[in-house]
Amino acid sequence: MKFSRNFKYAALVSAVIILCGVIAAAVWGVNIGVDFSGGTLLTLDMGGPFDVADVTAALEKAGVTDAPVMKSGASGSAQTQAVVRMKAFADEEAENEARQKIVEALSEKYPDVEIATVDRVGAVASADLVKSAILCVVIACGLILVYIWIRFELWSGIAAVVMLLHDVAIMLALTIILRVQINSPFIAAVLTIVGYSINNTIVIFDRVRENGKFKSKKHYVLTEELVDTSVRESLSRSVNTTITTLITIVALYVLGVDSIKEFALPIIIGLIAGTYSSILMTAPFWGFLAGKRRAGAR
Amino acid sequence: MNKRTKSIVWLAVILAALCGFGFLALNGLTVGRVTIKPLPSAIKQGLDLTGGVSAVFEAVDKDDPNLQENLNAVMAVFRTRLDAEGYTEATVTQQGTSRVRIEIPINESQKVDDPSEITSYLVATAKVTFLDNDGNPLFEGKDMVDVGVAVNEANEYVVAFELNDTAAKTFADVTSEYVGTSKTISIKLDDEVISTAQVSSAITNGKGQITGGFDYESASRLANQIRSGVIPIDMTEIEVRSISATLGEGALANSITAGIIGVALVMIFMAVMYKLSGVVADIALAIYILLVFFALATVPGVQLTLPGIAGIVLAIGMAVDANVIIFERIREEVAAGRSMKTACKNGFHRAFSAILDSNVTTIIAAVVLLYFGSGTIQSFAVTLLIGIIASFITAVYISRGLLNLFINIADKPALYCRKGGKAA
Repeated sequence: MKFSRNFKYAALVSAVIILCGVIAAAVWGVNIGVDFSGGTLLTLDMGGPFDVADVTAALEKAGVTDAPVMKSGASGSAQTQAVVRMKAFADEEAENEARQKIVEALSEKYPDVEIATVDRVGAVASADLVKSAILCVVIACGLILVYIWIRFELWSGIAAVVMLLHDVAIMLALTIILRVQINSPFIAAVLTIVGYSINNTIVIFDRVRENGKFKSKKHYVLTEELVDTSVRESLSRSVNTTITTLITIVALYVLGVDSIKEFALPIIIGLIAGTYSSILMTAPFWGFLAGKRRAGAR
Repeated sequence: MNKRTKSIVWLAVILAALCGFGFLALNGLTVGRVTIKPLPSAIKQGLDLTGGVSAVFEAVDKDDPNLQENLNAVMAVFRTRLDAEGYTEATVTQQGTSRVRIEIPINESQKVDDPSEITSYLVATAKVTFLDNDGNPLFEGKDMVDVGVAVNEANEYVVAFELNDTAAKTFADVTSEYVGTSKTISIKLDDEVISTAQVSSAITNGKGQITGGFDYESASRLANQIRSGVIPIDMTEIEVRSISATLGEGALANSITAGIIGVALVMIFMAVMYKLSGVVADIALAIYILLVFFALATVPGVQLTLPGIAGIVLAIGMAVDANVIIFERIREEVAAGRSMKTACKNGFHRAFSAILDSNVTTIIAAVVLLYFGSGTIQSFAVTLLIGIIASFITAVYISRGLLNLFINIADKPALYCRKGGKAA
């Protein structure tokens, strides 16, 4: 297979996915969790099957409007939990009272109702979470770039980091398209993929380094043939490794509770995107960048 | 004893030891006075697994020159109040320069209806002031030396206290003056007057009570708050999370099942793809899992949370990665016509740089998370970090030794590699 010749087509596919993500974000908006938007997420254990309309009625009684209610529960069992997303009250006391009222109103029809979880994140905390999340990704990418630069050469580092950002962009795009909530576990998922997909890239780069038998950093000459051979030789490793990791994370997704699913799905997307990009695009992109530089130097 | 027999014996010993450690880790052991706890119970679980409340409070005035001093006082007050309510396992930590984070594990027996009850109890300033008829302060909560809950003549719950000498004198003077007049003494809690009363007799023994329509719980909370002291600065609650214990248990059980199924499938996959080498990887994986749980139980400050479990399960997939890289290399060596022994040696040697570089980059990502993340993200980073280090040890060193033992016993390449592959 001619990886070098065809990497632009792979890039086109990615561009289309990312574009769809941007359109989806513009049309539907992004499903941002309370960690980043601020507000309160209230999970009520209803003690049995329930009607969403009853919960909405109870919310109205307590003076809570514009609060979407969703059914939730571990897969396989009946969905007996109501997840309510409320805007942040200015006053804590008022919010506590509202919560008590909701439970009281519901307990008439559902005697076993109780509060399972409360997640309340103020505006200050959420702004900080966003800041530290972006900081995490930027710093991690920067440090990885430097490490690859030291171990290989500058262009390989740039190619690797661009592809990492690509993987993150695909994760974000598909998460938006699938309407999955973006909360702080998403950041952990992104960082996991950054760490994991760089593995795939490095194994291939290592092959290029070995096959090229370069004398020093200045002697990195990446022919199309060298790139294609190296990608092909590491292909079965790339695929097998992804399969083993996918097995474990898919098991977690299938059996896990909602908060685990929210974390596992972006990882599954990222794993596939990372493998796709490192096989089809990263090494050819390195060759492309290094080739441009040589042409410039001539 | 020839090399082959020796290797069989070694392998048997290693497998027996592995089973032994595995049994020990699951069941624990008591020999005489030495007790080894089963590993699962020694692992500290995060709030999302045990159930509980976590909250972050921030100082309102961040330009306060004595911020650190005041925060220390706040944390001490939080601590005392938590202990007084029986939450001795709760943790109070400072976050950044102006925040305090509390985490309170709550089991079924200490169940509360609403987490806000606890957080508002904690964060209340709880400044009690006794005022004279003109609204001037007579004495405050800090002048009370002995505070407790009592029931008064009217059968109401009250907070009874005893004053220090100075305050007792003031109280005696004022009450003597007010007896028989229409002048009143008021009690103010924070900014609210909770009761106002005329004086029926002079109080000279320094004992008094706070009335205000309390039930037992609210009276004992106020008593605890007064005992713990006043929160010196305004704190605002910026984040609260709570999870019920039943929900936590369910999440843990689900994740464990997922982990077991995932590991079993990975083991089968490896054995099918890499035959005996795959079996070696499976043994190494079992050792890896033991190592990770051992580290989780012993490294201080490590908490197992839901994202942490995800981190471990993910790291299992990654642990196998190094073995995949090595075995693919060995397959190439074998295809080039080398003996199994040489192929193994070369395979490990040539795979090393790729494994090292890829592990270092993942460690970079994990360390960044550990340093800049907070709460559950940090616990995910710790488990990931433990996972990477453990996998490096088992996949590179332990599996190499094991594979050599296997090769000493039987060295037909067909037993270790599937056919095909390009010659190296």
